[in-house]
Amino acid sequence: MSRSKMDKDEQKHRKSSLLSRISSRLPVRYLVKRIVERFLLIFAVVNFLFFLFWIFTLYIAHLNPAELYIPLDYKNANRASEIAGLDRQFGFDKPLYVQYVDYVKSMLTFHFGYSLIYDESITKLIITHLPIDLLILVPSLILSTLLAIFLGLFSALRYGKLSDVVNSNAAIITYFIPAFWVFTIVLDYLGFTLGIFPTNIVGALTASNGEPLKGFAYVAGLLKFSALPIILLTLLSYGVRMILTKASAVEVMNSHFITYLRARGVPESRVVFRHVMRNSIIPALTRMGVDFAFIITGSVFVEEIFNFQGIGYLLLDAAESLNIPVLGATFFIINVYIVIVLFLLDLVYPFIDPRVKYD
Amino acid sequence: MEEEISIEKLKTYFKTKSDYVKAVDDLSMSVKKGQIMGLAGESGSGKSTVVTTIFRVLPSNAEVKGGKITFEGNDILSMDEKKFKKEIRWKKISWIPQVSMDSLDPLYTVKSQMMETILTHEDVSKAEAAERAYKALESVKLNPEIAEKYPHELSGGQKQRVIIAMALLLNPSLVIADEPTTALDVVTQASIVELLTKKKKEMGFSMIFVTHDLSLLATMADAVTVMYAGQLAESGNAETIFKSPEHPYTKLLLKSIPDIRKWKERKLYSIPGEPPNLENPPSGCRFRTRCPFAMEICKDKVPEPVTLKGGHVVACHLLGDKK
Amino acid sequence: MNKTLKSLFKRKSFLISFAILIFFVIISATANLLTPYTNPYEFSQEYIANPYSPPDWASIFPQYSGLPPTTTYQFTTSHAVVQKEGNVSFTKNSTYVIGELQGKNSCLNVSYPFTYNSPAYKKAPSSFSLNFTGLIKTSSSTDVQVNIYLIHGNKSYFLESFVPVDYSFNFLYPTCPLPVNSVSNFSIESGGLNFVNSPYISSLSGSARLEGGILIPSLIFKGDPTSYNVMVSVKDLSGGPVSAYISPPKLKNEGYLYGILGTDFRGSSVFSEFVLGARFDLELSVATSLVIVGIGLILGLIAGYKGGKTDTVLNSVTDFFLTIPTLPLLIVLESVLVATNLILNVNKAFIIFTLIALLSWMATMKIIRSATFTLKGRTFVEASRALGGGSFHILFKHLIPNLLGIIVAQIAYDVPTVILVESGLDFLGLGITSFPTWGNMLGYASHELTASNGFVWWWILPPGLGIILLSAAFYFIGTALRDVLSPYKTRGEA
Ligand SMILES: Nc1ncnc2c1ncn2[C@@H]1O[C@H](COP(=O)(O)OP(=O)(O)OP(=O)(O)O)[C@@H](O)[C@H]1O
Ligand code: SF4
Ligand SMILES: [Mg+2]
Repeated sequence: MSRSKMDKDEQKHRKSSLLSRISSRLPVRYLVKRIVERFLLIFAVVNFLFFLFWIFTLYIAHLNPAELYIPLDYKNANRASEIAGLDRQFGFDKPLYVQYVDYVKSMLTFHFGYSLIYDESITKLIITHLPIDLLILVPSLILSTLLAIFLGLFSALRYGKLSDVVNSNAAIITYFIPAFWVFTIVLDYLGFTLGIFPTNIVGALTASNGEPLKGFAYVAGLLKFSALPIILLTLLSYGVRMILTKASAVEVMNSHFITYLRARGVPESRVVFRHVMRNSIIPALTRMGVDFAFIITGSVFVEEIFNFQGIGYLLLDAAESLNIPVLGATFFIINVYIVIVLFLLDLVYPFIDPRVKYD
Repeated sequence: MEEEISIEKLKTYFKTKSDYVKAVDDLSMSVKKGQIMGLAGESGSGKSTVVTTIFRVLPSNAEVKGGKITFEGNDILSMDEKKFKKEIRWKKISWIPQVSMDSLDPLYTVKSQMMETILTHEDVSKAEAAERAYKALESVKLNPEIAEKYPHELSGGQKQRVIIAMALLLNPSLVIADEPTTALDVVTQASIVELLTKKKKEMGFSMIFVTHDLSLLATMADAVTVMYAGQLAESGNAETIFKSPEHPYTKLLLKSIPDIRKWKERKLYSIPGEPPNLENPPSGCRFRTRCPFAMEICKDKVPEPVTLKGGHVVACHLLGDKK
Repeated sequence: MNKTLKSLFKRKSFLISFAILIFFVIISATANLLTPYTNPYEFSQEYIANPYSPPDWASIFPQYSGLPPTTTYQFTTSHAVVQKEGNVSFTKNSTYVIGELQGKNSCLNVSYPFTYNSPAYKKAPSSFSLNFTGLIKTSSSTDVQVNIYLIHGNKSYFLESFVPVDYSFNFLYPTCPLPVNSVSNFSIESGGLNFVNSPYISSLSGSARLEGGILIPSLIFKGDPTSYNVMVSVKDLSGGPVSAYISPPKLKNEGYLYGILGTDFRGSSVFSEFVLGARFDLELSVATSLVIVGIGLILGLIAGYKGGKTDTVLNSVTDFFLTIPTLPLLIVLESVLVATNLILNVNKAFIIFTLIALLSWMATMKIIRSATFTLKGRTFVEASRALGGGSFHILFKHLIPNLLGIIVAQIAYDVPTVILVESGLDFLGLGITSFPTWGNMLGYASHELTASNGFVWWWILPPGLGIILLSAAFYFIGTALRDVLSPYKTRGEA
């Protein structure tokens, strides 16, 4: 047998073992069951949203968004007929069960229709409101996890020493710092007083001559704008993951296999970075996955302070103007996203931690 | 006969909030080349502490307060850490810990952990290391497929065989097995013991076999050391210890072994009382609180180990006049 | 119990947290004694000092040194120095100086000396106000005059002159109407003085005459000496009998420093906002977490204890709520309720309380459920059941006591969450706006911060630090209680 053929055989062997490993970790039966469950969950979400934003507002609180939408002093035409027209357009005049069926259908097929206020498709509205949020939230999530792992391991390696106590308590305290408070103060100082960071996105993306920035300058402006929120969010959100990492690292370092590794002469750096680290980051990574699912949770505050209009603004604005279709659709999309991410997390988990097995 | 390793007046203490736990206090023992030395004692008597002291992997609150461990003419305890790591660790002395201890990293396959051990000490290619790992697994009667498995996928017996394979990877001259069969069922226990003795014959290493079960030593050990509360009670070759023990503690221990032949007549005997608190052990002989022969002097004076004929060492005041 | 307390107080983190908690409990409980204000956001409780005044003690910093503090002089009749001209007699009681005037141009001057260290300050007060009550009894045909002066050293400033309307044309300088034969309030605000009502300002010339009300504090309260007088003078111009009852005045100099924590943009006391906010935050967060843990406990106990179908249903409901993004939902619901005026302001605290409680019980439920599962399998519970112990017996004898650590810790852990969420709502302006909470203090303060009114640290720092300290205190207390009260040790961090 030639060398290359052996390599090929080896590869084939590896591939098939990978496949078989995947199927042994994630049995098809389990997958099917989970998918059905998740689908039921999403269906429940649709019903919940229908109740909350449709039945509650229209039939319990007796609010008609169309009434809100057309100003009381609307002069051009007969206001009542205009409202009736809107009611027809959004189906508020049909019998309730028809509204329900329409609602469920529109949600599950992702045909959300048009916003009550902006003459734009809701899907497009949501998509245009997402990028800046994600530009800030995703990097800070990753950075804060890295910071948490680093500081958690640092503390675990110095367990009980002063540096550990300071480090751990600092991490706990960051958890209780009202983010909007620190953001405001820091933005005021670094942004308004010192002028190091842009204080709003329009300013950041506009050249000094008033022209909107293009190309590289646009990207640079965007980065400059998002730098401060990313840094601040990172510093205020690593705490929980740091404590998780530290707790599990301390536990891992006291476990016997670490002693046994040392006894075998495995170099200390390898013990720490290959064995302690990989064992102790699992909780932090899990937490990061969950946080990734709920990533937009804090966006309202970030947007409010850093002056840009993202998904939080879309929600708040829709709430204030009782833009029911937008509210329902946005929550639905967020929820579907959460369900999918959590589901993926379940799928990835057995590969991060081989002890996890589904059956 | 040449000595493989000899421990002299070893003192290993654990620092606690208020005091020291005198886990090993003035212990001396030695193992002859090619022999199996059984190290016996109740739970908490400091057996494992002796082992971790030899490997220099004591927890951070432990302090070696004195003594020498001579291996190949050098004192392990005062040896430079680098030298110890490079020359002795695993290459010369290896360790089989208890099964119930999770001795393998749950996140890596058996193969990867075995290869890591080989590659740490020897400059060989990965393929060769893998090959050796497979061979080692085969040599302990395991299917080499096990190499791809994770520790949690193995049974207790399989795990222990993997550990034995791990310990024998680098052909050590001394293997220290710390209760390698505790927590296994009787049949598996027997097969592991058999495997160890067989391997020992094949490879010719010396062994310290730690156990709290004296009966296990009867069939396999060449010599036996009995510890009580961190100190030596009695040591000697197996025959002497089992046939004519001198120390009251050894006698009581032997009495508590269930004897299958006399199953019907005898009830299982256990030594009354509790092992002492090692933070504040009794003065004089530490066994005096449970010893049926305790005398006035036992309270005042620590019994010095006395060497009788045939290298039989006993630390008991009863022996004072026999010297 | 004693042992539990001992091991609690052995922990440094618990001790410090406990001290912090006690501090906040005490200031909340004694809020009514610590501050005279009940709601500093109410119009009548604003402008107690110049807006954005730093605290008094800030004068130790160079940039605030030399600023005048806000000072109030509440005189009593015993301070009164009385001078008379002509046929006048007077008496004093505790509320009034009472004068009987008879005869043309007889005059009663009641002055109240005080010291104001004007040379020490870089600035004059921003404004002052003077209040007293008086009763002037005359016959209708008697012309009488009540004049009010501030006297600095030997220079006197004729602030206002009160004259019955019928006689006002007799004077060349501006007068104000004097109600006679009824008890009336005399109130002078420096900002309200102008050349139409104040003889002194009318005597000025140029722009000073026009801006008198703004300038007058700086004209009077400047330079040496430090001795001042407030003088109320009653003059009988036509000779008829006049009885004058003059209460001692209250003089307030609104400086640029105020109290313990200064003032906000309304000129309200930040200290009283802080104290009242502490009380509200404590009450709301403790009440809400009790309800949160109550819901979680009941559902968790039922699910864990009953098991089977009940558990499946309750657990699925919990999982459902766990996948809902609760914070955005909370914000949106609150905002819908506010925008559509479905709630009145009064109920807002209750609405917030309800919404937070309904959207936050899931974690507790999960924890209690799994702990109940474990406990149920423990021998003592099984033994009790075998002995015929009823469900209630088992619940209250075995489960609840063993869950106590978790329950207490969960309550303590939820408090910070509620505080942070509620503050967030207030910060966004969706929560409580009508009375002070730490959250809306932060909201207003940061709004003013970005509106470029300088870094009002005495306003923006206390509520934020309050939130952090109180939250962290609850967290550490919760951890300590969990560790100490759990019969089966749970692993603790930090
Ligand atoms: N890290 C430590 N800190 C404090 N005391 C310790 C520590 N490790 C062990 N000890 C104490 O030292 C004594 C000896 O422990 P050791 O583990 O050596 O006993 P052993 O004979 O191996 O017992 P077993 O048969 O149960 O394994 C015990 O009393 C134990 O409580
Ligand atoms: S020294 Fe005394 S107490 Fe100790 S074993 Fe011997 S007889 Fe017993
Ligand atoms: Mg041991």
